[in-house]
Amino acid sequence: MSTATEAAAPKYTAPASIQVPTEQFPAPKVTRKNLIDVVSQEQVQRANVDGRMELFSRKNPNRIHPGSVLLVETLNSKAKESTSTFMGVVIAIRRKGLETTFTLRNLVMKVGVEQRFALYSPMLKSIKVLQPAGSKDTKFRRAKLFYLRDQPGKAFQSLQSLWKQEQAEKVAAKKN
Amino acid sequence: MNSLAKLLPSITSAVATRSSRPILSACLHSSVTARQAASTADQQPTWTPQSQRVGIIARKKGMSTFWDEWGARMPTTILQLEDVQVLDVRTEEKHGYTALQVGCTNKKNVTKPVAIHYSKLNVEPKQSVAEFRVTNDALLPVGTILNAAHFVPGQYVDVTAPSIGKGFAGVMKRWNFAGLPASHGVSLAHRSAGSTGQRKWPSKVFKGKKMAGRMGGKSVTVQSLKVLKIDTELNLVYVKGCVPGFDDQFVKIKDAVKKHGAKRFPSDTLPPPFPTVKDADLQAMPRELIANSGEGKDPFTTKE
Repeated sequence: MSTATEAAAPKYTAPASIQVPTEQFPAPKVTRKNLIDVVSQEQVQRANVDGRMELFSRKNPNRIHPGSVLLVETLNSKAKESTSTFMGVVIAIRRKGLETTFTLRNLVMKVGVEQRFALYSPMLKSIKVLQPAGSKDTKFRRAKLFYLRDQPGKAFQSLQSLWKQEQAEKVAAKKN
Repeated sequence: MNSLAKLLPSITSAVATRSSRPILSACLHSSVTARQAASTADQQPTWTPQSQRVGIIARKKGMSTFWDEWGARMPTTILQLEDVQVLDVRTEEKHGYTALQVGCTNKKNVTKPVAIHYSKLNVEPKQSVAEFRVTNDALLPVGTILNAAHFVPGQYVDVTAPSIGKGFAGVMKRWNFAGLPASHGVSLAHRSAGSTGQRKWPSKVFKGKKMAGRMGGKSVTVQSLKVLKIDTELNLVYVKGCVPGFDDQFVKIKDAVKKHGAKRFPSDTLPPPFPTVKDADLQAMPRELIANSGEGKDPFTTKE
């Protein structure tokens, strides 16, 4: 992959072992203290390909609350097209800039399975909200729902039907 | 991308910009002028696998995460070059060894002797100063500004810094001793070392016996860390893995010693910027340069 500047100066061509990101940001203003924050925010902007940053920001009215049901599609490898999907209830959101992660929990054949996803990973293909957690008068009044491991209640009951609905939608979409 | 050149000047005072080398004024010390003349009079030296380039001093800014082109995630430490300049040249004839003295981070309030010393070099006073042994062909004139582009993405570096001090550490923390059981009659010795030797023979404790004492605060070198990315405008070097010391610590970075000659650098980036990156090449470079993983194949596919 080679690239060149338009300046009159000698052009820079990158050898094969170096890649140059096509989207380069102009150098931001940094002070001694906020360098890491500024630089990681730039990387977040670069990784925020499909608006996933807005889904997990702190203030956005359309953000995902703990207790929502998500369907996450991840690439198995960059070389292949095949993906894996995992559906589950969001039990934890850990906001750390570029390293923001969230955990989904589901009951797979009566076995509780949790999976943690890095939000800005290039292997994370898409996030689909199957059921938003709703407003203030829903059952989940906590940021971290680890108690669902011992007292699931009715949290996982609707997941089966949501999954079937999703599969039906997929089949319908394929037909069209 | 051509607007990069226009955005350069005066970003902040804490960041070394890609300005041209300072003009050598007549007030330089005579020995410095002589050394200057000697090194710039030669033709541009060519890199050989036996050449040793100068290292740099940087500041550890913090850690972040990095995904390579295959989607593999790895931790990365961000190191920033702040006003890194060559301060002195040590030669075989005069000093008995060949080295370059490098300084990092400008400093305002210095004593008069120090201020005069730096004014003769036409360089601002520096907070951290260190020497790097180099070969004769890798010498640079005094006042040369070193940039992050001195390193090639994909190469291996050694990073040296004082480790975080742990104070007077007990034997379990310092030497990973197991201590004694928490119960079953053990009195007041749960974290102690236990026995320190035998009995009548040798009737002494061996020298170097592992005991409690001060831990940390010593110079530690982490070897063969891969450079994942460089930022030529903010002067950042992204290195894979961890680096000793706390944030804003001064660290010394140099080319890996355990990778010999040509193996330090990816084969298609040879020769590396030698003795350091040229101004013309630096102006042409885009801001961010990222290393490919160098594997060539996807780590997530299994052999079927």
